[in-house]
Amino acid sequence: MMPVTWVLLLSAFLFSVGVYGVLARRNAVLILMSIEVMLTAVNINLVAFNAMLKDVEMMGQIFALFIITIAAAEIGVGLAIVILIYRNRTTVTVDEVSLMKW
Amino acid sequence: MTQDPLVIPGVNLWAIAPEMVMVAGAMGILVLGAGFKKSHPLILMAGALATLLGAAIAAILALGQGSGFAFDGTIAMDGFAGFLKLVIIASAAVSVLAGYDYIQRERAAAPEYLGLLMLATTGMMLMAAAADLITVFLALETFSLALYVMAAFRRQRLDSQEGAFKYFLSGSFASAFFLYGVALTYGGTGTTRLEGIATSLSEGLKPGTEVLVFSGLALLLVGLAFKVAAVPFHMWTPDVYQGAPAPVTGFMAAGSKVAGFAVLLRALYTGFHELVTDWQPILIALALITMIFGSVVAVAQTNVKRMLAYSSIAHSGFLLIGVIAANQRGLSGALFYLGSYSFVIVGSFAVIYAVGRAGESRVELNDYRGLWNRQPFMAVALAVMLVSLAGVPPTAGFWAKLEVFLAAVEAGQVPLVVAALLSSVVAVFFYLRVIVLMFLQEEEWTKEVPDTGATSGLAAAVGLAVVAVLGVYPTPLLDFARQASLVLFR
Repeated sequence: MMPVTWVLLLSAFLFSVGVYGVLARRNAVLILMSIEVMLTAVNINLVAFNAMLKDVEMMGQIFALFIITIAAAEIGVGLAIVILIYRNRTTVTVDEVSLMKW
Repeated sequence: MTQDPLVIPGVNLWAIAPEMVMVAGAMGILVLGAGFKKSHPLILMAGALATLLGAAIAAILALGQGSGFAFDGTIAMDGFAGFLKLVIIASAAVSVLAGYDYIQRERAAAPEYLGLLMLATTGMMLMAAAADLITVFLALETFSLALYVMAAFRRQRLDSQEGAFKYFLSGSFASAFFLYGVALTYGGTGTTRLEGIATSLSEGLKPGTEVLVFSGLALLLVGLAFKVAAVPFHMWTPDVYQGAPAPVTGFMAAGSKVAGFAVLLRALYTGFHELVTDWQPILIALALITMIFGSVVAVAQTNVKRMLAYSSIAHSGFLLIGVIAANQRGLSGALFYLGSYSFVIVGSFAVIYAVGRAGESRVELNDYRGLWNRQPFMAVALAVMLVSLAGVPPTAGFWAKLEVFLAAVEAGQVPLVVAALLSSVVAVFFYLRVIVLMFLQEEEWTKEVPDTGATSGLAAAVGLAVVAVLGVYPTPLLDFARQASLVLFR
């Protein structure tokens, strides 16, 4: 038996890694990957809570499935936008995508 | 081993009838657009409007079916959802009208525009009815994904791409926070149903789970504050408003605000109502900086779309006051506010489209100089709608602000209302500046009138009519909002 706290700590660590990646990375594709890491952290959390609560309705696991599906759709739209930007500017560095300020 | 009998949750299709109509219509339009390359935009627009009408009828019929929950408590069917669904449908219809002219002028792809708009509408309507955090997430992503693509609709233009890019990155970042909040709330309360959360909170939390619930609630608020563009989660708003085509911006401004506040109101008034003394101070701080920041920064803008973006941030602050009041008047006031604001903002962006030229040029303040001589109707329509946004009587915006502020006074939040009044005064300045430019200043160069179609004029006329009628006679919508707000106070 593993205490649920450990799993929660792993998930919190992964989430923080994702947040750091989004804030510190300059490449759009790596930012997208960091967002995926954040979503994975959420999934771990949900499944761990599902086991901890012994939820007979399996809400946590069902929610995790929904998140996996939506994340796939989201990354599809995201990459499409990144490719659109790459075609015009031949760069996906977020610092250089800054026509509009304030 | 004996098997338990299969329990099938109650299915009530009335609860999702408007959404079903919308999805069917959107699919139909996409198929029509793909199958018949030459299908005229006018036919597609008529189809979209017919679908929206059908969805509105379904929503009105669903209102008569009583209130309750469908699909095992994941979707609510009540006046609150019905009211907001009707508001969303109406603003989508006005956006279809404004968008039709845009499609004609820019030779944009009509089926995609209308299909995405209708799918986004579906997601927003589902947000208004969602009674389970899983449903909230699905609805949120449905309309967000559609809006990301719509923001990038002028895909050859750098500013449109950039707006969509920023919207997408910050949007999915915020969604991840929202989801982490949902996961923690689930761990703390053992359910994702709002009703279930309310029950488990009123029974008292088990020791050790408070930290999960409180951090979950905080992260939920971050995700929703992003959607309604509350400071400091507003960064995307000005860029997306400026980059997206004007009709899309109007729809996005109205729809995502209604959808975001729908969930905020339902979650805080039902699910987390037990913790009212805990979330009130957070929202008061959010509302204060949102109002003040939005109003002050809008003064410095020279682009009309950006100015309205900051004005929409300020309006989020005013709407948050209705949420903070946490009484029935606050709820009905916020509903009325959302109803009148949606029409005004969609109508305003129809005018911005009509004043602009091909390629979305001429959206600077100077381009509005002497608009009265060029396009008198558009000038009058914009002037009335800006006066309503400023909250000057007798317009719809005045009654909306009055209701919300009175609710906050009833709840004892007098300092907050004073701050709101002061930032409204600051806001009057930049609205009036546009009006002065349009009516009192001579234009510098041209007298040519841009080639706008008729339907954007119609869209502006709808906005104008709603503002004027609600300004003089707000009672019917106010009563409807009061009726709608009853269900969350049982």
